[in-house]
This record gives sequence, C-alpha cells and structure tokens, in this order.
Amino acid sequence: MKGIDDMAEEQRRDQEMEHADTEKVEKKSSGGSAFEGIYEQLPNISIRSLDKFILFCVIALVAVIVFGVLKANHIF
Amino acid sequence: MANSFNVKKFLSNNAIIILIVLLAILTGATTQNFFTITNFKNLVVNVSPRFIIACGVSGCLITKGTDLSAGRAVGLAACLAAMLLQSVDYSARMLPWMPDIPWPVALIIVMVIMGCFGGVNGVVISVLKVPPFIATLGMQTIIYGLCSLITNNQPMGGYKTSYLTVASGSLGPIPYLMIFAVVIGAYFWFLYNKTRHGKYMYAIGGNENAAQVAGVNVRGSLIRIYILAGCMYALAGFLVGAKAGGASTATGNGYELEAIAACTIGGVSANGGVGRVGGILIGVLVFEILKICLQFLGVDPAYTYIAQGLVIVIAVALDLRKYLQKK
Repeated sequence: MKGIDDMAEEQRRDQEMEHADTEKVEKKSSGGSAFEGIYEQLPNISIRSLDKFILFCVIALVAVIVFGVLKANHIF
Repeated sequence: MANSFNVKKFLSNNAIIILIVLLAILTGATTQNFFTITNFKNLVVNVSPRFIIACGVSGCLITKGTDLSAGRAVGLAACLAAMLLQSVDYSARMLPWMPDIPWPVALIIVMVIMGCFGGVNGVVISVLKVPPFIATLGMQTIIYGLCSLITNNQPMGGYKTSYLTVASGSLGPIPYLMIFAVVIGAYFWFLYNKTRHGKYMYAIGGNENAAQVAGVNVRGSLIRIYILAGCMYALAGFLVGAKAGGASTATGNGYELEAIAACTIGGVSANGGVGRVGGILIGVLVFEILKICLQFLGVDPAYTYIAQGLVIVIAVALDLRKYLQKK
C-alpha cells in the first residue's frame, strides 16, 4: 500500500512539473503583439449584433460622404 | 445547392470594395475629368509607394505583429536619399564632400541602412520578446529623433535630375513608379506563395508554438520579415522623396496607419496567419480611390479623415465577423 501511495505521489509531482514546463514554454513563445489574441479576449459577441454594428458604420460612412458633398455644394 | 452564390457572404466579404466602386461610379458620373488617363496615372503614382509600404508591413501583420515605425522610416529614407542625391552645384548641399553617386547606389545604401533598423526591430521582438506594438512605437520615436538630428530640422531639395526622373519619368505610357510597384508586388507574391519563408511566415502567424515545435526557426523568420519591411520602407521613402522633389522630418508622417488600414481592408487578418498580395493592393486602392473621389467631389478634407476612420472600423469588424464565423 505504501509503495502504491509513493508511486501516486511521484506521478502527481511529475505531472505538476510537466505542467509548469508547458506554461514556461507558452509564456516564452508568446512574444507577439500587445494585442495578441485580442479577438479571443473580447466578450462574447453574437454575429447578429456585429452585423448590426457593421450596418450602422456603413450608414454612418454614407451619411458622412453625403453630408460632405452637400456642404461642398453649399446646400447646408 | 452547394455551389449556389451566397449573396450575403459576398456582400459581407466585399462590402467596402462595393461601396468604393459605387462612389467612384457616382463621382465619374457627376464630375468631369474623373475617368481620364491623367487621373488614372495620378492614382497609380500615389498608390505605388503606399503599396510598397503596405507590402513591407504585411509580413509583420501576418505574423501577428505590427510596425508603427513604417511612416517615420519612410521619412528617414527620403531624407537619407536627399542627402546622397542633391545636385553637386546646389548651394545648400547637406554633404558638400559627397561625390556625385548614381541613384541606384544611393538606393542600395538607403536600403541597407533602413534594413538595419528593421533588423533591430526584429531582434527586439523575436529575441527580447518585446511586444511589436511597443518595440516599433519606440523605434518610431528614435527614427524621428535621428531624422531631426541629421537634417537639422531643415527641409531638403535641390535634387539631381536623374533622381527626379525616377518618379516623374515613364517607360512609354507606364510611369516608373508603377514599374517599381509591379516588380515589388510580383516579388512579394512569389515570396509569400512559392518559398519556404512564406510558408514559415503563415505558420508563425497561424500558431507560433506549433510552428516552433514543427521546426520553424521563428526568431530567424521574424528578423528576416522585419529586415525586409525596413528595405521596403527605404524604397518607398526613396520614391516618395523623388516624387515630392524634397524631404523633411514630416515626410511619411502617418503612412504606417494608412498601410496597416489598407492591409486590413485587403484581408490581412489582425488575428494573423492570413493575407494575400492581391488583397493588399485592393486595400491600398480602396483608400486612394476614396481620397480621390472625395477630392473630386469637393468634400472638406476633415470629412475625408472621418470617412477613412469609418472604413478602417468596418474593415476590422468584417475581419472579426470572419473569425467569429470560423469559431
């Protein structure tokens, strides 16, 4: 019984060391952008709400262009 | 049906391009001289150096990095080229002891110098693990300081005719600037699609850890990418200086943001691992056509800045949409 407990303890220690090594490797390699994985860090956004946002921006773009053209022609 | 044309997908993938094409058609229909050879040549001459800068930046973006020093690097390159290629009998020559050197030699010198700056960026990012945003932001300020030092904050001019001809000359109907852009575009297409370097670049951008485990020399590849980017900024700065007929510390200011925005519009993902040379060209064209259209329509430049900002936001949102759909 004692032998089995020792083996289990040894296995647990080995796993902890492996986990720590993996973390170190990951930290070492992750020298990318300050915004690396920014998409993963964003809160859960649905595609539908993103579509609405894109549509809003497109409408704003068209509005800015139209307003600029009308102002250039002294309509405002 | 599996092969049926998905209208929604087409619209969402090409929304900005469709908008700009519509704007160009509207501008052509309502103004004179828009659809003319002269205007097209103007577009090509403006697009060419920006496309070269965007090609340089694209490698950094594809590997999940960035390069905020691009604009200032272009400015420094323009100033260095100016110092080397001022006319021998120009009274306010910066380097009076400099012999008359041919412009290709000056171009090589400038590319080597700017390649070194790119190499420093690459080493700081890949070896010291400084985030590219911070590393290149610091380099941007360093380059600006150096440029101010070497030029004494004085604008430069008085170039030799052969240097000015690089930008103003043409081979038949084709401007030399366009030839430079086409050669660089072809080179980058070959590099990204047909070489090991290109494969490594996409692998690093897709998953750096997996690339490393698979045996890719990530450090070496990143350093090469940033050196190549530096060389491209040198070429672009050389051409911008020739086109403008002068250079100063203000040359190239803000070019990096335009280049990054153009890459994003052209499909280079902010999440890394994705990007094509054709897309980069489209992104640069979209930006320039937007500017030219609004100019022709007489719109105040302030509205042009707002419109450009909105185009960038839409491009990033569309990129995020593609990422969420894949997820």
